[in-house]
Amino acid sequence: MTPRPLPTTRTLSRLVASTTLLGALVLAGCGTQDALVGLHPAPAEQTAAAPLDAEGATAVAARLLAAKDAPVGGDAKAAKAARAEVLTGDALRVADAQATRAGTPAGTTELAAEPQPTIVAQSQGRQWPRAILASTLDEATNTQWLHAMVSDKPDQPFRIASSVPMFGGAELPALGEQLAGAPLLDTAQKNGLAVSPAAAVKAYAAALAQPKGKATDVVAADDQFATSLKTAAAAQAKALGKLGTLAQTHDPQLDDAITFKLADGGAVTFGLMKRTDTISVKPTAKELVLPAEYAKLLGKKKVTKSLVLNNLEPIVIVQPKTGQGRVIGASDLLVSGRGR
Amino acid sequence: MATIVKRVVGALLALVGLAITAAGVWFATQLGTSGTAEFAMHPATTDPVVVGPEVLNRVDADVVVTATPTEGGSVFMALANPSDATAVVGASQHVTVTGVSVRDWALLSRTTGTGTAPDLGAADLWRQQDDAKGPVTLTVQQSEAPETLVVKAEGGQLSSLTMEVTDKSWFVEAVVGALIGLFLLVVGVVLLTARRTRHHGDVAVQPVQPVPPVPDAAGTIDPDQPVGAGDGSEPTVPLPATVVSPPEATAAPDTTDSPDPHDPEEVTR
Repeated sequence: MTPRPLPTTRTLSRLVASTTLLGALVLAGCGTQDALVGLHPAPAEQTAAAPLDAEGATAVAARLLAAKDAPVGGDAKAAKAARAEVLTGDALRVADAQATRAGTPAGTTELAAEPQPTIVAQSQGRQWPRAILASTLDEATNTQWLHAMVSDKPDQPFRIASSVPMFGGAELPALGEQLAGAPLLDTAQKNGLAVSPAAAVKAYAAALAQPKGKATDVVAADDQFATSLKTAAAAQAKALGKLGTLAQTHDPQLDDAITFKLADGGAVTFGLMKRTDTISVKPTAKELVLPAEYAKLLGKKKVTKSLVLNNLEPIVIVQPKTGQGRVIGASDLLVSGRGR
Repeated sequence: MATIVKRVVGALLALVGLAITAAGVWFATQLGTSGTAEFAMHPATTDPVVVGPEVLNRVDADVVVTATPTEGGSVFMALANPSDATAVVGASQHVTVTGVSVRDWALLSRTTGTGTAPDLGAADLWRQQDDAKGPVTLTVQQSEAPETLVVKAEGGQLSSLTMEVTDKSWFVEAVVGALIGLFLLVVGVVLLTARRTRHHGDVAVQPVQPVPPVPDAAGTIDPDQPVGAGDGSEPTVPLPATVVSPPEATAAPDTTDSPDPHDPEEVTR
């Protein structure tokens, strides 16, 4: 019987191979451990997008719009503080002026349901200030409102910076995909437009001046607001006749203006103008008897020399990439006056 | 040589198998059949605690975070874009959760910044938020990743913060690991013990060589014995007086220099 030779070489090779494989597995375990338990790197943040999702932006807008119209208790100081919690910029200025003139805190006690906001756009990116552009439909008057809401700093909430009613039939061009956001633009810069938004507002204001406005091709001055101003001024001048003269100026107040970039490269700007109506009493007139509204505002019934009335005019102006701009919404509010 | 290698490999396999088995069993018992890993910390602070995406969003499963204030206190907890959370916390003093330690199931953290944190609840940048007296729980969904969680105790300190992740496959992997370790352990032990068994079995009984007849006196020729009386193939030179059998093989280890007693070639050489 012949003895079986030991498989030394083959066995040795197998053992070395097995040991090497095992060692490799053990050593590689450090690297494969993450994969084994399903760990992976966290996804990168997409910063070139709207800061809030649609639901979050809607919640913010709804909260602010409800708070804006909520009744406020306490004295005038408390009411002012409450307004500052909800409003900022032009909207706060208008609301404060309105409250001062009315002498009572703004707000409503009506139990009507608040109109649900529709988010039109958000500012793009992660930087501050941030803005939300929302719209609501006032079903009672069938008026579409545009609201610009702004958060200036990370730890500050959004506040309503401007609320402007749109003209009937007016149109706001698209601002792009909502979650992508629309860039906020510097109102004073041209931003690739024919003129800067600030220049457009200035041109519009000059065109509205009475008795003779300055013609412009930057922005159309034949909208409902401009037309009604001209009509009212003409009626006023006609009523005064030889007793006095009317001069009307519009002064752009753009410190708190907000400009969004439109999807087509244009821009939409929320701005404010201050209108000043000056009625000078001619020497031929002994005095002017004021209407009840003005008399209440001025605290006097007659003026003998002049009457100055101040209005605030929030406006929304749309500028296409090329061509003439157009105001799509505006309102005015008589806030103060003085008479001599 | 082969025996030594076998022994070393067997020992290594047994050790590695034992370690993997122990680790697998430990993980299986810690995770439970649900595969739930829970990490905790006890910051005892009024500063914000920030948990970033490098902790929250590295798994596919939802992460459930629970913050508990000290008695009587309340907790604000919210999720935001990572850059937003960083912006709102700013340079104020805060605790950042940097990772987890599996050994003691703890959340690792470090404290940075100076000054008091702003009113976090006032900010309008939270994707999801909750605040209440007592413990607050919030679920981080990976579909919203990346996100950063910010927790702040109010009216007291933050007593504890726990992060719970459930992945059933972890329990399965732990069990599979334990089984693989067990297999390696058995293989290692078999290699160790099989060496002895095989060694004894390999000691082959050497065939006994036919011993030629011993002549009366070495170097002499019987004059009566005719030389080449047969077929003429018989040797004509004197045969050795004795045939020396090699010593019996022992169980001593092989050396490279000594002849292998099991090798028939060595015996008959």
